[in-house]
Amino acid sequence: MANVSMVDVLFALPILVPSLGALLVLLLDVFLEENWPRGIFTGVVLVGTLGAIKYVSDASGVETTLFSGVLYHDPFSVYFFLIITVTAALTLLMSEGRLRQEGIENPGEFYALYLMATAGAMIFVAAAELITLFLGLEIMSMALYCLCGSAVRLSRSSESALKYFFLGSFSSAFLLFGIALLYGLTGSTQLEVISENLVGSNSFVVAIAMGFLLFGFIFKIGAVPFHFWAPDVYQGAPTPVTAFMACTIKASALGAALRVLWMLFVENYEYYQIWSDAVWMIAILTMIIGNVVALRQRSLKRMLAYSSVGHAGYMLVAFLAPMEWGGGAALLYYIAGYGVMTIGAFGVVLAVTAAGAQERDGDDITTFNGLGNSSPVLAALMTLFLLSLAGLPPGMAGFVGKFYVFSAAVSGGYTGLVIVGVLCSAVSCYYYLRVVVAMYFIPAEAGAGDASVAPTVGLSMGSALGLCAGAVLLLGLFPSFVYDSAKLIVSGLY
Amino acid sequence: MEGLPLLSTIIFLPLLGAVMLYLLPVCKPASDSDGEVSRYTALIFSLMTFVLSVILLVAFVPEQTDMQFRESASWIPSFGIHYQLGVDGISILLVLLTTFLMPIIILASRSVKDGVRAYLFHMLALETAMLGTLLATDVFLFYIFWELMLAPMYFIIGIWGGKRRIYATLKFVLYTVFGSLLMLVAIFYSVNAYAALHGEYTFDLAKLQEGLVLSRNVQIWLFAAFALAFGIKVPLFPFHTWLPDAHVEAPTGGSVVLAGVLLKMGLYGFIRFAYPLFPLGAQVFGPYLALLAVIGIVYGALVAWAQSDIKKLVAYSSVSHLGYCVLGFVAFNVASTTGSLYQMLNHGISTGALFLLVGVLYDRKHTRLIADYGGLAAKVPVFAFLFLVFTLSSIALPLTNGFIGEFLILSGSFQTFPILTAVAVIGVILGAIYMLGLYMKTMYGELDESKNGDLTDVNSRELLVFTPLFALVFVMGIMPGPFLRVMTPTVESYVQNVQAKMVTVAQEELDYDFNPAEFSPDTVLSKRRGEASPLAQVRFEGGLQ
Repeated sequence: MANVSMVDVLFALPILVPSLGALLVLLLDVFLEENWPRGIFTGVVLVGTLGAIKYVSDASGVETTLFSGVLYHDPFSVYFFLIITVTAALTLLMSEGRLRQEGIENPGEFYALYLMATAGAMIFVAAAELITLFLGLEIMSMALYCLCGSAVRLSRSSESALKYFFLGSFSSAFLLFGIALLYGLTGSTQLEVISENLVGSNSFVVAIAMGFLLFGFIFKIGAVPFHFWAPDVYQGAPTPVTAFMACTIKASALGAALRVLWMLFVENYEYYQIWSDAVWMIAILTMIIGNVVALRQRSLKRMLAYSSVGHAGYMLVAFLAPMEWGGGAALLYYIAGYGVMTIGAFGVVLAVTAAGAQERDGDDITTFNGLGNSSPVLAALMTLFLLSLAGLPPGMAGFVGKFYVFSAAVSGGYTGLVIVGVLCSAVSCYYYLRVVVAMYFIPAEAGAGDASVAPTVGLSMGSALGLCAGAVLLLGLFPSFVYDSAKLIVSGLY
Repeated sequence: MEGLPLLSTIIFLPLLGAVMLYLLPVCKPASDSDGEVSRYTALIFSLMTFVLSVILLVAFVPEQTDMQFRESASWIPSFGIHYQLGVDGISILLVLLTTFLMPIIILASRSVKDGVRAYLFHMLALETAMLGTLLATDVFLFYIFWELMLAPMYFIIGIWGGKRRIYATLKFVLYTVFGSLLMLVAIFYSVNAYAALHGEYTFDLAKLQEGLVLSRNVQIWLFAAFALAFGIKVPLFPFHTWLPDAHVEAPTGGSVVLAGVLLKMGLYGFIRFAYPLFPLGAQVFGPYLALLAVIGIVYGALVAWAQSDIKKLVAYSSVSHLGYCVLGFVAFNVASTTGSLYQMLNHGISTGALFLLVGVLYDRKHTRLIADYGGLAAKVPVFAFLFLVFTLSSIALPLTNGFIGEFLILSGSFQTFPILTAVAVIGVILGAIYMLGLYMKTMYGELDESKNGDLTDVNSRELLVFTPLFALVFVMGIMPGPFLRVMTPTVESYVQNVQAKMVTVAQEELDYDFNPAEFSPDTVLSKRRGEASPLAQVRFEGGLQ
C-alpha cells in the first residue's frame, strides 16, 4: 500500500463519486432548507457515476488492479458498475416524489444511505482481495439494513430491518470465517495468490472454507436454503428499497460470487466437483422452492420476492454451466434483463399501491383488479414485465435470458437441471399470469383499496417504466449486443 | 416482386394494423364509440394480408419442392440464429387458410361489444404470430412465434370469454407452456449435438435436418419432447382436456381461430420439425401416435355424441377430426399425408363455419343448449340451410371438401395401419350420428314459439361472412385438383426424404451417443489449453465418416 498513484484514484472514480455524493448529501442536508431537491442531486451523482464509468471503460485497455491489488480494474468490474448504477438510477427515478407515501421521513439520510449502498455494491463486485470484499459487503449491507427500516413509523419496515440485520450479520460472520480459513491455508487474502497456493492444500479445510464463502454469497443472492429473510424483508421494506435489493444488490452479489468462486475453486479442478455439486443442489432447490411457494402468495411484493428467489435459481444454473460454453456470459446477460424487468414490475407495484391505501396489505393482489380498465398503459407495461419474468414472448429479455442460461447448461451437460428449470418456469407462468388475470379479467369492485381510481403516474415514474419496458424489448430483440460483449468480458476471468 | 420481402410483409402487416388501431386518431374510443372504424381498419389490414398471400400463391412454383421466397438475416450470430423465412407446398395453403379466416373473424366480431379495439388488436397480433410460426425456417424464430401465439389467445379467452374463462384460459396457457418448454430443452440438446458434430452452432432447420445424426435412443427422447409439445397443441387424446374448456369459454372469433388455425400448428410442428429432425424417433413413436389418434377419433366422437351444449359438441368433434389428420400424417405415405394436409384446411373451414353458426345463435338467444332449440328450420330457413351444408361437410359427404380429405386419409393410412384405420372408420359413422342428430334436434321438430319465436334469420352481414366458406366447401369438394397440385410435389419429396432417412440411419445404427453428461473438468482443461476435447474426439471417431 506504499504509493497511491493518481491513476488509481482516477480509475476508482465510479466508486468514489457515489461515496462522496453520499457524504455531500448529508452535509448539504444540514445547511440547506428543508425541501431541497435531494432526489435530483442524487440523480446527478448517479449520472456522474455513469460518466466516471464511461471514462474508466474507455481507459480499460490494460487489465490491472488498483491500489496495489485491492480492486480489480477490468471489463468485468466495469460491466457490473454499469448494471449497479443503471439499476440504482432507474429505481431512484421511479421513486422520485414517492418517499413520503412510502413512509420515509428522513429523505436526506435515505439518499445518503442509498448512494453508500451503491458504492458498497461496487466495491463488493470489484474486490481483488478478500478483506476488501468483506468491506464492500459490509458497507453495502449496513446501508441496506438502515434503508429497510427507513419507514420509521411502519412496524413492518422496522421488522424487516431487524430481521435482515440479524440474519445478515450471521451470514457476514460466516463469510468472514471462510476468509479466515483461506488466509490460514494460503497466507494471503489476494484472490490470485490464494488461487495459486490452494493447490495441494488440505482439501477438507478448503471444502469448509468454500462452504462458508458460499453461505455468505447465497445469503445475499437470496437462494435456498438462505432465502427465508427475502419475503419478509422484501414485503416490509419500502418498495423502492425492495426494488433496489432485488436488482442492484442481487446483481452485485452474483458478480462477486461469480468472480470469487470461479477464480478460487474452478481454477483448481480438484475442488470443482464439490463446488459444482453444492451449487447444483442449491440451484435445483432454489428454483423449485422459489417458484412453488410463490404460487400461494397474495401480496405482490412477497410474490415478487419469491419470484426473485426463483430467478436466483436460474442464475445459479448459469453459474454452473461452464464459462467456456457461455455460462458466465449468459449470467451477465440474465442479470441485465432480470434487472430491468424486476424494477419495472416493482415500479408498477409502487405506482398502484401509492395511489391506494398506505395501510397494511396495500399490495394485495386484489389491488390490481380492474387495472386494465382504469389505467391501460400501466397494466400493459406490467403485463410486459410479468411475461418477461415468466420468460414468454413478447417479454423478450426474460425469454432470451432463459434461452442463454439453459442452452449453456445443456451444453455443459446439465440437461436434468435444465428440465427442472423449464418445468419451474412453466409453474411460474401461473402466478405471474394471476396478476394479469386480476388486471384484465376481474373487474374492480366499487370501493376503496382497488384500482378503480387510476393511479397517478408522474413524469419520473413514467419515464422510468418506459425505459424499463424499452430495455426489456430491446435487450430481447438485439441480445447479441450485450451477450457478445459479455462473452468477451467473461473471457477475462479465466 | 424483387426487393419486397413478401413473407415478412405478410407476417408483419397484421401487427402493423394492430399498432395502427392504437395510433390512428379515428380509432380512438372518443371518435369511434361503437368500434366501427376500428373494425374497418382491422378488416382492411387483414384483407391486404390476404391479398398478399394470394399473390404469394400465384407466384409460388409448386414443382419446386424446397423452400421458396427465402429471406435470411443474421440475428444472434454467436448461436447461429437467423431471422429466416421460407414457404413450401406444406405451409403455403395453411398460410392462406390463416389469412382467409382472419377477415371473416373480424367481420364476425360484431358480437364483441366492449373493448372492440383491444379485441381486434389481439386478433391481428395473433395472426402475425400464427403466420410467423408457419413461415419460420429457423428453429429459434419458430419457437418465439410459437410462444407468441399464447399471449393474444390468452387475452381473447380471458377478457371476452364466458363464465369460466379464467379457469379455461389459464388451463390453456399452462398446458401449452409445459409442453413447449420441454421442447425447448430438446431444441437446446439438438443444437448442442449439432455443434459437437460440426463445430458450429446453428438453429437453421435445413442444416439441422441435414447434419443432425443421432442414435435411436437419443432421438426417442427428443422426439418425445417435441411430440409432447405438439401433441398438447393438436390436441392428442390424453392431453385434449384443455380444448373443450377453451372452446366453450372463448368468444366466437376465438373459437374459430382456435379450431381453424391454432390446432393445426401442432400437426404442422410434427410435419415440419419432429419428423424430419428425428426420423428414428418418429419411426418408434409412429404407431403409438396413430393409436392415440384413433382413440381420439372414437373417444372424441363418443363424447361429442353425449353433449347437450352445441359448442361443446363441435369442440369434441374437433378432437375427433384432428385425430384423422394425425392418423393420416403418421401413416406417412403420400396419399395419407396429402389427405391430412387437405383435411386440415377442410376442418378449418367447416368447423370454423360451425362455430360461427353457433355464434349466430348464441348472439340472438344467449344459450347454446341443444334442448333450448328445435324446429328452427321453419323459422330461419337460410340459417338452417347453411347449418346443413357445413354439417354435411363436417361428416364428409361426397362433393363436399371433407370427403376428399377423409378419403385420402383413410385410403392412405389403410396401407400402413389396416386395423387402426378400420377402427377409425367407426368415427366416421359416429360423426354422422352426432352431427345429424344435432341437426335434427335443433332444426326439426316442434318450434317453441315462446322461446324461439322471435329468432331472426341471418342478416346480410352474416351472409357475407358465410358465403366464402360456403363456396369453398364445394370448390374444394368438387375440384380438389388445384389445391392438391400445390402440395403434392412437396409432400412427395418430403415423404421420400424422411423415409429414406429412416431406412439409411436405421441400417447404419450409429454406435455413438452425444452425451454432454460426460462433461468433466478434464474436458474443460483441455479446451482451455486449446486442445480438442477428448470427448469430441470420441464423438467423431464414433461413427460419423
